[in-house]
Amino acid sequence: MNYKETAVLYLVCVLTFILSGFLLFSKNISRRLYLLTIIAILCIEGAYIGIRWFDTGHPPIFGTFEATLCASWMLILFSVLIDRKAQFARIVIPIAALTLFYGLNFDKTGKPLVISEQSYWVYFHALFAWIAYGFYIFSFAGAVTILVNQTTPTPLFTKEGERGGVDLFTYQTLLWGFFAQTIMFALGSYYSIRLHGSWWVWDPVEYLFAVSWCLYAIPIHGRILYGWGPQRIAWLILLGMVGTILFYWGLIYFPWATYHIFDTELKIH
Amino acid sequence: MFKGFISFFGSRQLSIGLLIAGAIYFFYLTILWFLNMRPPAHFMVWSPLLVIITPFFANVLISLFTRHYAYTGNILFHAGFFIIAIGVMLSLLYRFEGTTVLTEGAVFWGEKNNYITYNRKDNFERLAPKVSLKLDKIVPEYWGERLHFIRLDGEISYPAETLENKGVVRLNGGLKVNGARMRHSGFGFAPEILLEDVKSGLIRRQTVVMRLFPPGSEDYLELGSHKIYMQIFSDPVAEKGKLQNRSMNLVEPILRVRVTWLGQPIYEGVLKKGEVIRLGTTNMSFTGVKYWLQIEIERDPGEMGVIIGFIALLAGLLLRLVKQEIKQKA
Repeated sequence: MNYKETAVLYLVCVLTFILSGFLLFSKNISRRLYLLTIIAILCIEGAYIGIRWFDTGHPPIFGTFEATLCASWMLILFSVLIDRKAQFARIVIPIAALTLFYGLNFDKTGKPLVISEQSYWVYFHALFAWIAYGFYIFSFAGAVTILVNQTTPTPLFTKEGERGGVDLFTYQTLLWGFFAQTIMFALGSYYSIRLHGSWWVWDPVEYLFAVSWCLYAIPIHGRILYGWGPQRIAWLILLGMVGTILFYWGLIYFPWATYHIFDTELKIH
Repeated sequence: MFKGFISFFGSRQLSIGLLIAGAIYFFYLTILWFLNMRPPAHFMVWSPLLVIITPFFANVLISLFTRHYAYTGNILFHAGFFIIAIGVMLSLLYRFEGTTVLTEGAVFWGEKNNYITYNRKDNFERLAPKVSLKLDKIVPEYWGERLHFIRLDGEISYPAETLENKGVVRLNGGLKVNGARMRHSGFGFAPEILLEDVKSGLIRRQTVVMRLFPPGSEDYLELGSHKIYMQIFSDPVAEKGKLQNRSMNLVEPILRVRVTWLGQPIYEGVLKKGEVIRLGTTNMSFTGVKYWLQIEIERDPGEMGVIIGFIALLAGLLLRLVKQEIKQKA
């Protein structure tokens, strides 16, 4: 990574950090400024991803740094697409910033893909993983909003963030996240039969996928079958999200290797 | 009794309960992995899974017939699990898996004795795919000097009778011949050894598939009471009197040989191409090194079933989502 690329990356980090600070500590931030800033971050980070893609010859899916780059960019993209009114920005943008900062701790060298990763099936598998991550983070933000508003008399966000709207938004993003996660699994499973000769590999990443898939299916079924209220749904989403984040990002710290490649410095495929 | 059975196994409580049980089960497997039980014993995996999956299918089946699922999308999504299950059953019953090891230039005819292992011992003729091929060339590429493959292609011609088609066998499959998927799962160096019996003058040339990759790895072959331990230096260079590898590519490779006879070391040295060592009444020389590739040949009649099942799952979910959005907008 040359100094120009490093400068672009750190510019993205600084912008995301400043925006997160404003969102967390300032009561009034103009929507226009918010929108302009996230569009700027989206473009600069997108350009950085594009340069890196060109340099390494593959989309950024290899190693924790590239994963966090994609995850944070996806959150910013979703903010532009579905949260222009900054209803959930106080939660989503700091998570995007944290994701990005977490990735900075890892090796940023651009590496060519190992042969097991060289496939469009893997690229789309990773893409849908990040789409699911984006929806689930918004669903998590909705869940936090529901739970905070339950105890706070004045709405934390804007008028559109009232209970009914947030409840529906949370549920819809949960469903779309579930859909994207299922696509991710189907693609990964098909690729697994090409690579390992079996649809399912007894691997912790697949276990954790199944845990989070079941956890997210519980509120969906609860709402459809029993009409569970927003609070209960919100708690379950929180549980699903906390588990997913802790285990997914934390998996590399456990000593045993997985078939999924996260970070070549820490894990041997 | 029957009504009670149907109402219990088709109940909503069981649906939610099974999802919780599913999450706990996979969390339990994760814990086993953290405890380094990889893979855990069969009963630890399959017994709890059967306890969950049997009522799950009963629950889904009863719900499909008792119309618990109100929307087409829901029906399609849950029916997808059955289609996947049928595909998996077909795979378990009729899937053929065979492994062969070929060196560059070798021919595979698809006969029983061409496989080093295969899973359908009794039904070989019926289930084995009609595949034959010649492995023309193996092309490995690495990222710099690291053990990080950026390419490992097995270039083949098929069928072996006519060699009219060309294809590439890769790690992640792709190549399908007569319904059989081919991928490679192992790679290494195969030294070519020339053995000459001094008494009879009989000469035998053998390409020996050994686990000598990456360079520096040691493997052995047995010749009567002799054990010949070998290491390959694929691209050798002598630095301060010590042999080193410049790269993992084959550039004038040499062998480091250590021979024992009845467990006693009798020879240790470096063998260059054409050099001879005497082992009892046999002269052994090394004439070159080839690559070998382990190729997996699989035919799975259940594959299409699983793919259709996945499509049903996704179509069901999408239908449910789109319908819901339309309903909310209206």
